[in-house]
Order: sequence, then C-alpha cells, then structure tokens
Amino acid sequence: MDIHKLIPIPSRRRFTNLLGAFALGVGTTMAAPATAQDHQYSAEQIQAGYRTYVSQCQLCHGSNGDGIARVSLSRQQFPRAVTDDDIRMAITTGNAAGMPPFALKADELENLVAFVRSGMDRTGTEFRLGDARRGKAIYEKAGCAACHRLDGNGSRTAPALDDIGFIRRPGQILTSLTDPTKGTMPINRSVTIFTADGRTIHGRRFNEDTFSVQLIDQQENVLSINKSDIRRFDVSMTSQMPSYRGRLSDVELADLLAYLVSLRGK
Amino acid sequence: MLRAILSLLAIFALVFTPVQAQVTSQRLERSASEPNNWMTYSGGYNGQRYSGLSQINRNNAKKLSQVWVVQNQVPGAWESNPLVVDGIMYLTQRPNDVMALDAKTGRLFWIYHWAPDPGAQVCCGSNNRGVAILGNTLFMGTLDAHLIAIDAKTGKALWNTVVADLKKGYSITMAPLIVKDQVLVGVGGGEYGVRGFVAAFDPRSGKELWRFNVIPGPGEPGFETWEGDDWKTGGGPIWTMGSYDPVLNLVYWGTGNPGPDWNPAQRPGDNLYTDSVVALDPDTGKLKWHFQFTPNDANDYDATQVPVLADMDWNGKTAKLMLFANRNGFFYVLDRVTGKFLQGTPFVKVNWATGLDKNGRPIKTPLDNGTPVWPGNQGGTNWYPPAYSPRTGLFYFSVWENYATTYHREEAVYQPGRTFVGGAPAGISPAPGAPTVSIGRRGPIDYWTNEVGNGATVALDPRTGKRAWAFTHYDVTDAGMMTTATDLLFTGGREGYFYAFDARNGELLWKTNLGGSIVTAPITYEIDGKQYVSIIAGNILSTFALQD
Ligand code: HEC
Ligand code: HEC
Repeated sequence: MDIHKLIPIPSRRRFTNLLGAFALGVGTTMAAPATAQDHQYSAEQIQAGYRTYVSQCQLCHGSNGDGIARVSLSRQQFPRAVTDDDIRMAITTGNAAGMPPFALKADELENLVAFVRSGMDRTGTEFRLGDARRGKAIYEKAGCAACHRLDGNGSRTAPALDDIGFIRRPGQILTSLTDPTKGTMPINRSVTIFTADGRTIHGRRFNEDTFSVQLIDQQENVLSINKSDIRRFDVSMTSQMPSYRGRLSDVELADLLAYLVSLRGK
Repeated sequence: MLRAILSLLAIFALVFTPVQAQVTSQRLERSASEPNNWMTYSGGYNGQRYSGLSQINRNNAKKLSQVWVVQNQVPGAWESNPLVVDGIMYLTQRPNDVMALDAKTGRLFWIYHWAPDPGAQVCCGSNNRGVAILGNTLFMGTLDAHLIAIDAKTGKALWNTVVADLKKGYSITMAPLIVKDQVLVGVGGGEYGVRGFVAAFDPRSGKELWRFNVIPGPGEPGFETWEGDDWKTGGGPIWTMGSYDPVLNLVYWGTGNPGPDWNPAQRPGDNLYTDSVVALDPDTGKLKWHFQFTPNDANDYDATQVPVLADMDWNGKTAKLMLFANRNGFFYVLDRVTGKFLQGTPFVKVNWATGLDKNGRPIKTPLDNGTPVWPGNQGGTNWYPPAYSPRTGLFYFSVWENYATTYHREEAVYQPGRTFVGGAPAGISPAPGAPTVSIGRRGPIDYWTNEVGNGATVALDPRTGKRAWAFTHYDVTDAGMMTTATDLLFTGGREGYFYAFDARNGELLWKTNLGGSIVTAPITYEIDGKQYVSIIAGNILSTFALQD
C-alpha cells in the first residue's frame, strides 16, 4: 500500500458547503437536537461498535468512514441524519442509495451509534454529551476566553475553537479538557525561541519547516522566524491549559463537551 | 501569398528537420550513451537515475532558474515520472491523461484522455506514474487495469486491452517497462485480496505474451508457503518499476504486501513471493530466483523500491550487485546473478526484527498488539525512486525517521473488489501518549510536526550500510532522487523545497521553494546544448536550467 493511505484524523478546515449548511443547523446559534438529551458512550460500547462496524459496515464505508460520497462517519457528516435516533433509523431501514437495512440486536445498534458518535475512535475513549446550550454558558463562565478565541471574542494565544468539533473527535476534546498535556496536538505545544540577536519569544506555532517557523506570540504578534536566526528552540511538553477535571462537575463537562462538539466552523 | 510562404516553409522543414529516430529496444539498452534523453522511468534499465549530463555542476548550480512551468488541472498527488525523447516530453496526469509537450517551452502538442471506469478501486489515490515508449508508441496502464497504446505523434489510441478485472480490485498505477520489444506491466490491488502479477504484452497488438503470478498456484514451487485457500487472496501486487539487466537477461521486480495487510495470523506461512524481489526471464516470464525480505509480513512492508543494479567492488572483486532499500527498514545488498544475500543493515530504527540471519531472513521480535512498530506503516522508505552514482559509489534515497505506527489487527472477510486489509493503522505514535495525527498528505500547513517522524535525504555507502551523509528535513519526504556526472544530487520533500546537493558530502548548493509537496523524482535532459532539470511539486511541473 502506498503513501496516500489515510488515517481517520481530521485535517483542518476541509469542509464542503454541504457541511457548512449542516454546521449552521447544529451550530452555535441553535441547540443541537443531537445533544438536547444526555448521552453517555462507554469505552466498551465504542469498541464493540468498532467490531460490528468492521464486519457490517466497513465494506462500503471504508476503514476511515469516508468510503461513501457525502458521508464521513469519522466527522459526523451525514446527508440526512442529525440525532442518534436518525442514525439508528438509517441503519435499520437502509436507504435508496444502496445501503441495505440491518437487523441488529438492540445492543449492537447502540454500540454502532456510540462508535459513529465517537468519530470512529478505535481507542474507545468514553465520553458523555450533555446539553450544548448549557455548555455555551459554562464556556462563557469558566473563563476559557482568557486564552481561546471563539466567534471573534477572546484571546488568540491558545488555538481558536471555532471548528474544534470538526477537526477533533469528542474523546480527544474531552481529553484536552481533563488532561490537557495528554490531549495536546503536537503543533499546539508552547514554544520559546531565543534568537541570535537576543530576543526571547514565547508563543504557539502555526507552522514549521526545515528553515523557518511561523507563530503567534503572547502579545498576539504573528511572526515568521528563520531558523538560522535562532540560538535555542524549546518546545514545552506540558500544556499551559489548566485541567478542568474537578473544577467542573461531570454534568458540566458533558454540557461543555456537547457545546464544543457542535462547533464545526462557518 | 501566405499559402505560398507556408508551403515554402513546409519544404524548408522537410529539408532541414532531422528525422526523429524511432525509440528501439537497442536504444533503450544503450540509454547511457544518449544522456540528452530520459527514455525510461529510471533514466536507464539499471534503475540508477544517474545522468551523464554535466552542464550544471557544483559551481554553477546556484544559477539555476525556472524556464517554464506547466500547471496540472486535476487535484491530487501528481506522481508522474516524465520521459523526454528528442525534445518532446511525455507525461501523465490524474487519472489517466497523457500529455506530449515541448520540453523546451512546456507548450502542449496534444493531450490524450482516458476516463477509467468509475468502479475502479485504488487504495491510495488515482495515481499514475507515467508512460513507456517504444518505436513511435507510448504505453500507459490505467486505474481500471487497461493497457493502452498511443501514437506518440498524434496522441490517438492504437489499441486498448484489459489487463485484469477491476471488479476484483485490480488497477494499474505504475509506468510500463519496455524489455526486448515487449511491454511489461504489473498490477496494484494489494488491499483488495488480488493475486498479483506482472505480464508482457505485444507492443503491436496488445496480446498477452506471458504472465508471472506473484502468488504460486497448486503444484508450483512456493505454494507450500500458504495454507488452504489463502493463496487465492494472497496479494503481492507489482506496483512499482522494475529494472533489467540485458547481459544477464534478467528482469527484476519488487513485489507488494500479502493480503490481508495487517493480519498475518490469517495467512500462516512465508507467503511467497510477497514482499520479495523476483528475477524473471524476460523471454518467458519464468522465475529464475527470488529473495524474500519480509516473510509473513504484519506491517504492509511492500518491497516497492526500484531494484538498483550496480557493478561495484565487493570484497576485492567487481561484482554484479542489486541494492535495495526496503520499506521494512533494512538496506540489502544481493548478488543479482544468483539472488544470494550478501549484506543487510537497518537504516532507521527497527523493532519488528532484531536483525537478519546469514541468509538475510529477519529474526522477528514478537510485538503485542498496540505496541508501536518501527518503522511505521509507510516504511523506512517507500516507492519513491532512489539513485546510485557510480562516481561516488553512494546510494541515495528518502527516509522516514523516528516514526512508528500502532495497529489494530482483525479477521478480514474476503468479498471480491472490497478492501481486504485485516485491520488498520491505529495511529502514528510519537511522544508516548500524544494524540495521533494523520499521515495523509497535508496541505501547506504542517500540523504534524517532527515529533511524529521526520524525513531525511540519505547517502548510504552500500559496502558498509552506513550513512556517508544525511540531510534532515523537518517534515517527512516522499521525494525521489536523481544524480549526475557532475556529482549533483537533486531531490525535494513535502515542504515543497527542491534541492541540489553535492552528492559527495551533502553540502546544500541550491534550493527553491515550489510551494507544493514533491512526491516524485526529478529528471534531466538536454536540448540544443542546454541542460534542463524537471520536477513536479504539488500541481506544477517546473523545469530549470542555468541562467544565460
Ligand atoms: C452496501 C453498502 C453499505 C453498507 C454495507 C452500509 N452502508 Fe451506510 N450508507 C451507504 C450509502 C450508499 C449511504 C447513503 C449515501 C447518500 O445518501 O448519499 C449510506 C449512508 C449512511 C449513513 C447516513 C444516513 C443518513 O441518512 O444521513 C449512516 C449513518 C450510515 N450509512 C451508517 C452505516 C452503518 C453504521 C453501517 C453498518 C451497519 C452501514 N452504514 C453499512 C452504503 C452502505
Ligand atoms: C490559561 C489559558 C487557557 C485556558 C483558561 C483554557 N485553555 Fe484551552 N488551551 C490552552 C492552550 C495553551 C492550548 C493548546 C495546548 C493544548 O492543546 O494543550 C489549549 C487547548 C485547548 C483545546 C484543544 C485545542 C486543539 O486544537 O486541539 C481545547 C478543546 C480547549 N483548550 C478548550 C478549552 C476550554 C473549553 C476552556 C475553558 C473551560 C479552556 N480551554 C481554557 C490554554 C487555555
């Protein structure tokens, strides 16, 4: 197999108009129907769902969930389905486009829904989705905007969260909230650069290659620095983000996660 | 009046334009004697990608400048390897277009379109790696596993033959290879439970002349390395270029992974001749020898490199060698007359094997499911063409370092034309516990970072298996190599830089950023006394020469 084999992790901002429309439907402005009720997805369910997926669904939908046009199961991109019930219905009734109806046991069906909702997370990180509308209020109260930018408000020192629900899986977002260092995407690590001419720059990278690095510093200056001008380049392996485990209750975390998952870019 | 001038011009042309010579097999065999042309995928049958041209050298390389650019109109990785014959460049673009253009200006003579059947299945993108030329005919394999002969002067198809059944997951992405007036082409489909093969076709009629099945059938030697019906879906595609030794009358091919890719328990045995190099008699397709790099492969380690044929000193005697940098992380030196293993050394971190025994067979380390495997799924290297310089005696290739993958392995169910992989890479595993990121082609933004692996352009001394020099890239690299008689090494990387190095010591002589990933190899040619270097980066093909 060759280099273009994909692994189901979202790359940034490659969404279609279709998805844009979908995002509006469940986005920040409206309470998403899918998250109006409390959903708990356990590790066992997700992993069992993965096994059923491999035997029943992978043939068409592929190992990354993107084998059928207009459907991305890893990114929750569906032509019609919105709620968990819709997904259940899609599986049990099939569709005219060629998906057969599946007669599955109730628990098999639940497990599949959990696997799809997890963004096809084979590691099976358990998560709970609460109420997105309440989650928005928690986001505002918890002071996330001191570091993060969203909808044009807040600091730019930490990554903007406008499309976080599209670029990362629910389990990964939850890990970022409860154990930030474990959840950090490599590019988002804090860096400290000591230049040959004596400057010290603290910031977060946008991009890097063999010869240069592009970053935003803590004063929100957007900079490009040649590596030949760098004396020392430190990459911190500890996240600057505080853990919210314990600071927020499980219910609050579930609500916040539902809100973040609903952020899919505009 | 105008007409009169035109007919005058026509007469003029008749008188003064030299007749374009046919590309005969003899010419292809002696390609080193006409370095102005790049007539085969590797620039020569020995797979060295070494050019005798010398106008561009270590002193003037910094004066390279862009002469022309062609923009591709189709999205996706552009992996085509252009040919240049007597001033005309032939190249393909996705999915199956062939273009003939003026290699001096980039202007198009003609374009041929083939729309592959939408049912064609390819694991890894609608790639095509180029055409072959014989006489006045071009040959292209297609995504839907056809072989098409095209008139090199008009761009019109001469014949079109079905090589394999696309409904069973067969496809063709490689450029064909002309050997002794035959068109040789192999098939892809290692992720669909195919039975891989390479076949020879009559260049005039498209009739199949012979076929070598990578997976032996009942009664054939090697069949005993399979259990039950596993051989029927055993994989072993041939999807990258082979090489040919006219003196030994042997044609060599690296073979692909067994099926299902990631579940070796489902196909006990060595699974011959997957992940091997096979030496075939080009007249009959009969197997002369084989060497298997990775028996009962668990990690998709196709033997996808172009086998590099080099005559060099080995223990005090000139020997006919094959140099093979393998996806599995080892660099091999074989006797290409007999297939005997001479030496094998890891060129990156390897943990799936502790080493090789005296016959070159890997001593495997049992790894628990979920343990990161080094090198990762794309291998220590992959299909990107290497180069060898008889002047420096060094072997040049692109390497992925510090890069591992964890896998999920499970039982695969075979259904014709459906993926048959037995699991999936679960993630790239860099710093312990860090979130995994995609290895898929990334845009101009590198959100991966070198934490999860980095690339290197490596010059290896085949005698020791040790690095003579290496240039470390921040991102990984899928770029091929090309080296010249003036000891230049041209290559690139995912970051979009195109480089000229001093092939002797790795000194960076010149670079330019082309703004798109370089996922193919450079070529060089000469027209009217001017040397050109062409490379594809992202969606452009860019050609360079020295500033006047
Ligand atoms: C035979 C091929 C096939 C199989 C097997 C299959 N699907 Fe589908 N699936 C499709 C097609 C085709 C569509 C519809 C695409 C469209 O409407 O454009 C689809 C759509 C969907 C959708 C979106 C439904 C909607 O209405 O928005 C979901 C969710 C889905 N499939 C899940 C599954 C799951 C889970 C399984 C395994 C139980 C499965 N599919 C098995 C072919 C298949
Ligand atoms: C003191 C500054 C700070 C505060 C307050 C903060 N964060 Fe963060 N956050 C960061 C930094 C820095 C990162 C990037 C490093 C990382 O991913 O760990 C980050 C990363 C994240 C990520 C992952 C982003 C990605 O692209 O992968 C999420 C999600 C997130 N934060 C959500 C929140 C939420 C929700 C809150 C409020 C409850 C919050 N953060 C409060 C600094 C902060």
